[in-house]
Amino acid sequence: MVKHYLFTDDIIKSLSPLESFIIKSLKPNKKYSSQTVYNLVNKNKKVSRSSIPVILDRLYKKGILTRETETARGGIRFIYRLQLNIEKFERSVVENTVNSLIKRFGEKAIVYFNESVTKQKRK
Amino acid sequence: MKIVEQLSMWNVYFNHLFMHPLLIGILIFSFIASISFFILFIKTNKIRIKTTYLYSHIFFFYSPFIFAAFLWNCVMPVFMCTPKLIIYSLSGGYTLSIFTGFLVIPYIYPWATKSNEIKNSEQNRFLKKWTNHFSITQPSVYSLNEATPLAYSITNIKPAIFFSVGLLEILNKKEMQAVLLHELYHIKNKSSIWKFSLNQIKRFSPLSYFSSIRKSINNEERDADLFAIKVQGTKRFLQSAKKKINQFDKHAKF
Repeated sequence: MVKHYLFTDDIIKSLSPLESFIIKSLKPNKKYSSQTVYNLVNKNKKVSRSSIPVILDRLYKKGILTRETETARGGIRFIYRLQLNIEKFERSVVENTVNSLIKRFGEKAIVYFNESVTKQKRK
Repeated sequence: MKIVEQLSMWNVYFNHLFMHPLLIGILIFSFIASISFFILFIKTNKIRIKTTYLYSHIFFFYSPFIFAAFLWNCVMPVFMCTPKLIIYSLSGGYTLSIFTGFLVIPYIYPWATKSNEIKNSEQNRFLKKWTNHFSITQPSVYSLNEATPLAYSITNIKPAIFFSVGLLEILNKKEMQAVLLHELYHIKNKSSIWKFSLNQIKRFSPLSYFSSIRKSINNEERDADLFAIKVQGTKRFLQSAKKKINQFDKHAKF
């Protein structure tokens, strides 16, 4: 299920400063290559060229951008577009939160999740 | 058949193996040959020679058992034939599966990785020039729909080079050529066959668990780098390509 809407503050807050800066720099329904994103971002913020594909890939995996491949002069490249996949985004937020809790608290976090799920089922 | 009967049958089989003078001779010779090839396997770092030694080591390790199975007399075609059938089916089955792997993998791999074949690109033209120069079969080129920069090749029957779209995005033309030359060296040397072979048959040797193949693989990678440097006449492009890939990995971790 894919929904299109402007990004709410909650979504923006869940992103890193560079991720949210990129999102704010992009226009909906416009296609961007990683080079054009770099040119756009580099005007206002000093970033390394190699960090842009990483951020774009992260935003794609979070369901904020879509991507397709395009054959250009030097070969194939990714073309990104702003398009929120709410289901994918929510899943990635939950996944990141749960993973970071497990990483920080280990077994205690898993025991808590288990107890919490059991309580929810009883209700 | 009860398990006790099965075990007694194996007992008879091993007695047959250890009591038959011809088989004892084969067993001793094979044991010495197997150990010798294993020592050579450990001492060598060239992946191609290493794999050949490992094949020889495994051949001599199992040959007395296969030969004993060959000389094993079954009372009837099936009855009392369990050891013979098991040894025949295991050795035959494993050999067949390795050969099938060699034949099938190059054809199913692009489909399994959902990669797309690239034709008439800058990369194809560059590879054509150098494959003609070195008289090797021109590999097919496939792109992987991934942002992580990576490149590898397979050389079984149908040589192919795979690289991610992410790699093309971060490297310039000369850096990409350095990566292609690195992969071309692997194709020229049929590295992936040796690596695949080494990994597959290593599991059939109980002794090979005590040795590492890492060093040989690293040597192969170093030689591939040297090949790319030699052809380009400079290490600048390969080094900058590696730097960019490392930078990507560094950014991806945070």
